[in-house]
Amino acid sequence: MTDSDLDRLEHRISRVLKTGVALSCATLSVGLVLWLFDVPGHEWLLRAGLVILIGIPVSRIVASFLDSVRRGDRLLAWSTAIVLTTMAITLLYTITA
Amino acid sequence: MIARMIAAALWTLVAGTVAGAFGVLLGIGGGVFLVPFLNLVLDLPMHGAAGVSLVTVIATSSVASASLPRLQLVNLRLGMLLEVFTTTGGLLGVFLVNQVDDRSLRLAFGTVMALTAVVMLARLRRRNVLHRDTDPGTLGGRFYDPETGDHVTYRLVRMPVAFLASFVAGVVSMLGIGGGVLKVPALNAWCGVPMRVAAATSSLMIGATAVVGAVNYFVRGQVDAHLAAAAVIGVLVGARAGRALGERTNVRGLKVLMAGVLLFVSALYFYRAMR
Repeated sequence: MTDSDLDRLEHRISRVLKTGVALSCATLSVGLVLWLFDVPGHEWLLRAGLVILIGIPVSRIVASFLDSVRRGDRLLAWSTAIVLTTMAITLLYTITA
Repeated sequence: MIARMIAAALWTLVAGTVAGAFGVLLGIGGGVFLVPFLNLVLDLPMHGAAGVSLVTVIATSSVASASLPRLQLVNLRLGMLLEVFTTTGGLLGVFLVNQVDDRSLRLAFGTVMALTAVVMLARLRRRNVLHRDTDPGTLGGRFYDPETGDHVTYRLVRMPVAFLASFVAGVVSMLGIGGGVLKVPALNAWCGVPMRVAAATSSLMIGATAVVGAVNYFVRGQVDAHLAAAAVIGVLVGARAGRALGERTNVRGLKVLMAGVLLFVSALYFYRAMR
């Protein structure tokens, strides 16, 4: 991985993490405030905020996978693919168990 | 009923703030403080407490790794390779936590708390840095070292140890903690990774590991969304405060105190599990 490749990947990951945290925090905060005032729909917002939060590392790994495939970095591509598969297996196991 | 739930959420917000601050100050994450609060004080079942805590682990991992200076310390290739082992360990952990009862989880958590206290006190800090012109190998790296004022190199050694430590950390993380307390000392003491790189790399990895557990608890309806939201916001505020405090606090004295607290809580868990 060259320095410019690494630099681009770091910026991409940083952007994914910052956007995800900001979005999830905003959704959770609004959900909590609506709950305090007993506004209907707050439960949905809270759950959406948690789903966004859980999705942040997944998005980061997807971004890394796409980047490594584009660069032909086999080690990183296989590692990220296995991690994503493990996450998918967990979801399937949890739903079906 | 609603008033009690709001009170619980407010207390969780406060506890999350404290857990986030201490987690950052001591470098062990907030889970070891948050899980006992949710389980012993709010009387949440262990599965529910671990689920809420894992959601906060994702938040702290994402925030800590989002800053570019911190991200530049992360060894992305090593981190993503080790994530294979932490997440597969996490998958085994998910399978195990779904088979065992609350009492067994309490015993396991008490054991991990005691281990965390010991590791926190005994943590070695090896420099593990080589001359900048040394070849870092496939999984090593280079970074700017403020102590030498120059770029330095490090090489990964004893790879199987790093894989094993990551796998075990993944299993253990299903108790609601990040697992960095096992990975970071192992990478630093045995695998040739400098402490700052090991901590930053682990910090990024724990987010992915926590996803595996969080998905399990969330889909099974064991995560209370109100408490989780309060905990996430509290932990994020606390982590920010912890970073600011860390620059002017004697962390060594605090570590001894917190190790004592962890040992006390560990004993409490054993006592409750045995009753």
